[in-house]
Amino acid sequence: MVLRSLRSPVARRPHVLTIAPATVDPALRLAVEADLARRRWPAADSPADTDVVLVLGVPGPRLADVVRAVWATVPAPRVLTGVTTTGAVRSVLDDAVAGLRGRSHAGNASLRASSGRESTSSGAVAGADDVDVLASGARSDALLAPEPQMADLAFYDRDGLALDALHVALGPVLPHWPPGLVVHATLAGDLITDARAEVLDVPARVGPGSRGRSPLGPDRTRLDVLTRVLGLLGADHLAARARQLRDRDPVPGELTTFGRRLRRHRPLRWAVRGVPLVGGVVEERTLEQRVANLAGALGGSLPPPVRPTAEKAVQALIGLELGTARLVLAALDPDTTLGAGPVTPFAPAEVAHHHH
Amino acid sequence: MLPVAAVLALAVVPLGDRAPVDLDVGVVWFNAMEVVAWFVVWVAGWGPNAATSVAGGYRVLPLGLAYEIPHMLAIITPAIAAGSLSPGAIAAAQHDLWYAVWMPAAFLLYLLSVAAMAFWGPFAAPLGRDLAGGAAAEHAGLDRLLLLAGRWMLLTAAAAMAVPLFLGGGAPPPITGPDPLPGLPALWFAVKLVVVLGLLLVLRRAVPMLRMARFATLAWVVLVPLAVAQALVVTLVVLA
Repeated sequence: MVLRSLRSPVARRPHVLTIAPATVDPALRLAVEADLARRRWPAADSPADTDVVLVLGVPGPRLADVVRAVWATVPAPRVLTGVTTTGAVRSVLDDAVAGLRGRSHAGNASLRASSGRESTSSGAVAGADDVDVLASGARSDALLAPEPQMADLAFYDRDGLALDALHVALGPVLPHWPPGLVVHATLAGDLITDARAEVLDVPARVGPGSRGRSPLGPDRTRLDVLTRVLGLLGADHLAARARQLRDRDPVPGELTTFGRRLRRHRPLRWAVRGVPLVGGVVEERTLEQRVANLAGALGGSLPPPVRPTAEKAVQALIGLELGTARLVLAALDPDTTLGAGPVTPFAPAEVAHHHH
Repeated sequence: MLPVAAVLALAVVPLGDRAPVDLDVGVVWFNAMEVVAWFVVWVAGWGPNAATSVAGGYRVLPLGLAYEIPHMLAIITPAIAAGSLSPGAIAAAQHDLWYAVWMPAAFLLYLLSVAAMAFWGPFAAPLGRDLAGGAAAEHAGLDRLLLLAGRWMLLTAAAAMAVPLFLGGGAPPPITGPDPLPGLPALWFAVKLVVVLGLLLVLRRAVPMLRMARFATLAWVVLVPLAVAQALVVTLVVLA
């Protein structure tokens, strides 16, 4: 069979979907990204594109529901696995690829993080067709969709098209997305007309204590943000370079050279032009300035970039087109460990119908 | 559907000295097939009833509106110069001067639109990573294989069309004098195709993915006037 013969090349470079809770240790996230890059395994765009679902750290109950819902849409051959410590990354990924090749030890491991009990750490590999893994654990309310509702007409209308107002939850499983963040957005076409932030499993705002600080240090924080912005822009070789510099200890000269290269990159500057950045600091009122400042400060001694709260960052998305909003969110790099206000009970996005 | 569009588009391209299907209006047929590709991507995005996917599908529209006018002018320009809509006749009309040299703006515009036709590289917005794969986000298995393979086939087919339109088809370069490899038009065609694909890879590396709003501005302010000017110059020279 064709699909059977395709199996081994797929298993050689599987597409990996990483899912991280807001409280994930940044060192773990970076270690995983570095190891995936070393193996040249591409990041999956969406669950349909996924071969390996990799859960970082210990997801809370809500994120575990999300993992379950995502896993239900991943096509076989597939592997669900989790990693909680930096040291285990390599062996977990080795096991995952072995699982994809069909030599999985299904049944002896499962992801039970949802129940809050002993989450299996390193060797948790769910096998190719082992859906039972997900049936255990807490009841998934993400799967209980309400009755479909007709969509309202959009209140704010950019083009006078009387478009449907579409209520969707964006995140938390999207490429280059802040960990644990869900944006409850109202869309008119591809335009975000309203947005609220929610951080899964982080109850309330922890306070302004850690604001603006990242455990990564200034330059690595900047490179981390740039990696995501460049990745979203499809500038893959620049994103790879930023990630490479982030994951090792670069000579300061390399950092300034890379920063200068970014600032002089005309197509890049042109691509991020004309996007307002509401609520940013005074000298960063546009996406272009933000990116230029991130690049320009590389290798310097300036303080680390300001990381807004999730609420503030999400407010900046209102009025933007979806793709632009993704760029703005990646550039603002909200600190999701701070939580996002009172937690709204998770209502699955109202089902809206298109009349076209 | 996408592979079908690619194969049908490729059918009228002379691979060497003769096209598999030698239509008199091959250029028009080729252009029609790319509209089939728009339809395919839009339907692929609309079908799954998911927000990111339908947003990706609808990006076909601004992309098409922006690139199609310069693209059509770019493929019509060699047709004007050769006085024929048949790719074979256009290739044959270039025996002493390639149209890539004679009408460089049209050639560059055509290269841009090749990437745009296949929703690839800088024009990958309908299938963009910012929409988790856009129109392809919800497609798995064989559907996904056909969609993504079709995209590569379409890119190759469009790149192949550049050879008869601008690079003299299966003929050796005019500067080499007598043909060093006589009787092998398919080989010359393949070499030229590889060069065109190489140029496209350079383009992808140099330019990040374009937001549709930005590209629409560029297309209507710069590319359309450029294409019109190129077509005008060629027409005047032909008439003179």
